[in-house]
Amino acid sequence: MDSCRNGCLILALVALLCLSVSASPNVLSEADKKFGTELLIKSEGSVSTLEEKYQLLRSFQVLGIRREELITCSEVEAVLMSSTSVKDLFYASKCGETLLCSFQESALKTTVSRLLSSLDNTEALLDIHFSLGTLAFLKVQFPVALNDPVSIFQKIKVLSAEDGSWKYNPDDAGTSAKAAGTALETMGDLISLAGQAFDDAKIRYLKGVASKLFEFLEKYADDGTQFIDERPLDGLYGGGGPLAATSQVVKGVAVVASHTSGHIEVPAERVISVAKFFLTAGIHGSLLDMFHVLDGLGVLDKNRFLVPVILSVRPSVLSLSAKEVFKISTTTVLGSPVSATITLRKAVRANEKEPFLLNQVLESDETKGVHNLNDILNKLDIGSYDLTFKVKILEEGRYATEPITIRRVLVTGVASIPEVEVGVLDSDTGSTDYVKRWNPMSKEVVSLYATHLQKLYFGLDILSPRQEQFIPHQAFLKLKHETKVEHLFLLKPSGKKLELSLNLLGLVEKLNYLSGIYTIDLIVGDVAMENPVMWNLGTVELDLPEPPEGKVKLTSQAESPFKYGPRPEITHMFRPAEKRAPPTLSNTFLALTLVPLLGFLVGLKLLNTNMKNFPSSGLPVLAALLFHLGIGSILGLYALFWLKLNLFQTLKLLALLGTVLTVPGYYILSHLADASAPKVKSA
Amino acid sequence: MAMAGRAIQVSSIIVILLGIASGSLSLPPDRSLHPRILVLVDDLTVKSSHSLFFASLADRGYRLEFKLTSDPSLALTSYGEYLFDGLILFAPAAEHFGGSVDIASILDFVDSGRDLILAADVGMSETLRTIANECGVEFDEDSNAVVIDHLNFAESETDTEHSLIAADTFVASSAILGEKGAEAPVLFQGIAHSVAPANDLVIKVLSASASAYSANPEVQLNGPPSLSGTSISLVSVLQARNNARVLISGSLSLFSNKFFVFPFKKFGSSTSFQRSGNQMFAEEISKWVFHERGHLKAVNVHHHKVGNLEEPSMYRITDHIEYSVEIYEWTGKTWKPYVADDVQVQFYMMSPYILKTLNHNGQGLYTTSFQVPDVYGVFQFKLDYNRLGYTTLAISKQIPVRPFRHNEYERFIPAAYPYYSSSFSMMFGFFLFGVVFLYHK
Repeated sequence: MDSCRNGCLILALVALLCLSVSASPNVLSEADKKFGTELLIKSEGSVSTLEEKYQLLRSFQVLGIRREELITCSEVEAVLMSSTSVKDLFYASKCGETLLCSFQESALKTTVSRLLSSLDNTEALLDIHFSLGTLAFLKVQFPVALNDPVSIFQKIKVLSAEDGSWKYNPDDAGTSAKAAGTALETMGDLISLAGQAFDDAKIRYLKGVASKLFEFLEKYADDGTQFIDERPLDGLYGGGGPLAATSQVVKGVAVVASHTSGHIEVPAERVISVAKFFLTAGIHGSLLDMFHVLDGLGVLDKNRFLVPVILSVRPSVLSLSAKEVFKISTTTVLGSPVSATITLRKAVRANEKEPFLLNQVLESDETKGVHNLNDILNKLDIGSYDLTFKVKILEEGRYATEPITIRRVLVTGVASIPEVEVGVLDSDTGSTDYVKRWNPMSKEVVSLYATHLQKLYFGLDILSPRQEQFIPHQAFLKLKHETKVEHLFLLKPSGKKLELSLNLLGLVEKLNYLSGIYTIDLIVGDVAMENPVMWNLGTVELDLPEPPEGKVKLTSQAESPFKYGPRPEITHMFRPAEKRAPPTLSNTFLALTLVPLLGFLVGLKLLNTNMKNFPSSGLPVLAALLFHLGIGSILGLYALFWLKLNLFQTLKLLALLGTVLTVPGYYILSHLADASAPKVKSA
Repeated sequence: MAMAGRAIQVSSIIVILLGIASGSLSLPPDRSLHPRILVLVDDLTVKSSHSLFFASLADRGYRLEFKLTSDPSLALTSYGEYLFDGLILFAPAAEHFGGSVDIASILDFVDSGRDLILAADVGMSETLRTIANECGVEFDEDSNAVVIDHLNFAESETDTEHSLIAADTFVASSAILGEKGAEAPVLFQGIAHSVAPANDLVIKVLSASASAYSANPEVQLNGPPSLSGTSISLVSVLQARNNARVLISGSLSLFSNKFFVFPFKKFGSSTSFQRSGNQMFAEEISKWVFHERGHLKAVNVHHHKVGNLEEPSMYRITDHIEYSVEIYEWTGKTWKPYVADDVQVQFYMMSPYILKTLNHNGQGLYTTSFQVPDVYGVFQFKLDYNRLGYTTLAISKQIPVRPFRHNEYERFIPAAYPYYSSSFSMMFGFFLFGVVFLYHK
């Protein structure tokens, strides 16, 4: 995991690098600072601990902003008086330092004595660091006397390793450069508290450690950026990654430098490489990372060992049409000007080898550290340039800078396209069937007609502001069919022109044999062009052959309109009712059907029917009544069948009634037969 | 003992009553209230440089766990159980993953209905391309190509490639982008991808403009670029059939702090924006991806005959029936009633016989009534709700429809009175004739 952290960090920061123009980073611009401030303000809400409050305060301080609502001096004093944690005391005192608070000795007497006694009892580097840091702050307010500074010095020194790295605790397994940075910072505080107790040998030792620390730098990217990596040990004591480690080392060296006289030997290019590291990381991360970057930059901006100076060219994108000029400045990492003489060694157009300008000393405005590059302007055309500068700082010793700086700048301007030639050529002879010069001013559209035996021709000139041929990165011609199928073609330079010749016979396959009207769009753009264009030139109606057998002609790719969204409602069409006779007709027939029954009744009347044969007494009467009741009920059953019963119920009942009916039926019929039999016989 | 039993009974009744009273609130959450998200990065600086995005997730109750892709203890599952509800892959260059994570396990993770955010960048690894490909998104094959737009870029001091795109072609869906939508263009710097037009599940959320193209800015073009114009998708989302959601962005920086608070001016336009729309876009779309919006569920599907609340096992043709369903949307914390005027139900056998839009009461209850067609067979109540950005609801309930029984037909047809009367007069005549025949003398 830790082995990856380097590699991965490089990968991610390479990605970050892609955002910036050139490999070497610029100093923090006003926009960067504003942006960082905004992020810091955003993170204010989630800040709770004293440590975080200090990180915010310090970050704001480096950015030149005073925000006192985070914590007040009285709050700091309350913590200093009451807290028993050395860490809290330390960060409270750091807050107090940032806010320039002042306190009374009487109020903090117990705190001081507690800190002094804790110094005697601890051997852990961080505890000593916190205690001494607090005391060093309090010493500015009122006198603080250490009991035995030399023994404390020895206590810290005993944690060091041969190579200049340090341990946090005597029983730690490994060592780290970050711990060495902390140790240096602690020693610096110790000197500020009891400087008179240290002889030259000890001071020399400290300075040696400080200059040695820069040997722990690791290469970060090819542009010379270097950083100090975190070791596994640091993970146990707060971590924070390479940013924290690098920032801590720089801080340690700076504290030692500020409390000792004389010079600390530090290679200039290393200090610059560290400055570059912080600038590359930038201020757009979490509060912790921003704090480490800003703290590191703050120390690099003002220190007594070596202040890195960065050359920056603004704007990095220069507009010829806006008549801008290059302003070259030499500043510290946070933007304070530093006087220097700058020579433009050479200016080369990107992708070319021959420089067109050599050794030009820039005129400077001493007060602002700004240098103007005016002579070059009338020689520039649109495009990218690599400018190589040589920097010589007037005040040597205090400042460090890269002797040679290369910056890539982009010059933009308005390119002109006088006209676009649009034509239809004959495929075989190449003779022009139709040609039209399309004018960008009037934008009058053309409408062409072409068959597959012809060619479409497009040609245009693009001229840079210096009236030279300019080849843009993007020069596309787009044919768009009514069905929204698009085809893109590239215009290529040929002689002095950008040309495109479309042989339609070879394109029928690509165009899917799709005849019809195509709109023609021309898109021309480039990073250096301030006037990219997207013009509709007009339309062309293509008459293409039918596709051969077996080829499916692609039709519209239009989406179903109901893919998302409601569909039209569907209602069911019910079967219409059967046609029926009108009631008058059926009523007439109803009456007619009753006529035969009526006739039958009338006939019975006319025949003078009687019931004389009806048995007169006894069992035959009962049988007759039962027989006719039975027949009546069967008829009634039929009526019920029609009204409500189903076939099965009916048949069951019918079987029952039928069986029952046979007994009286047989009896009465045989009785009637017996009664009439003698007459028949006698007759 | 008896008392205790009674007490339990009473309390359970109270619970039930409370459940009824609180209505929709009694719906079980179904989804985790504090989803666990695994954030895979190839460098821990991403955690810092994208901290605003992660903070917004953490504020919304997500438990984020950051891991390096090379971490040997990486695992998505433990004893067959998934350890996370979502995965954020902010590691464009990752070739391999540590532990038990690989392409297949990430795809299984999505197949199990869990969500994925994948951000690519220049120098994207083959591994990530494969994952994106499986999700229906194809990135430009040229690994050095970036999206360039000379007409729609954000003016910036450091961008000399016109690759800092100010994109404002959003998908028209308030479910995906929130009610407000994006108020400012979204800054994009990264690589282009395309989605197959035939793929219904992938939606282009942020598209490039007509003048955009994908190419290596350092190299002069030899032929037309493989991706250009509006076919370039910058950010796409996939909603799988199992409602797993995947967000694929061609730019990792889109989610970075730097782009969140980036004041810019779009080329050729006079309005300058105090800040980009990135923060809003990233937050809103992450709400969608993690199902805080657009996740529907339908419960209590009922149908019955008008005037009879029992659900029958069968309907008769021409019955009048009522259909009702309740639909709720997940907000990340609770289920709230879903309100829309376009929920439709079909009465379906081979093809829809009836398609009707449901009425709603504003509380999530959708109802309608209609008459069963005069065709019998096995029908279905089908509710297919497929809206852009919402989970698909597909509920079907089968119900047979029978014809009239013989005794359910009309009994007294005026036009048939002559037939009735002739039969009955005939029967009456027969009866009379029988009597007369037997007893006349």
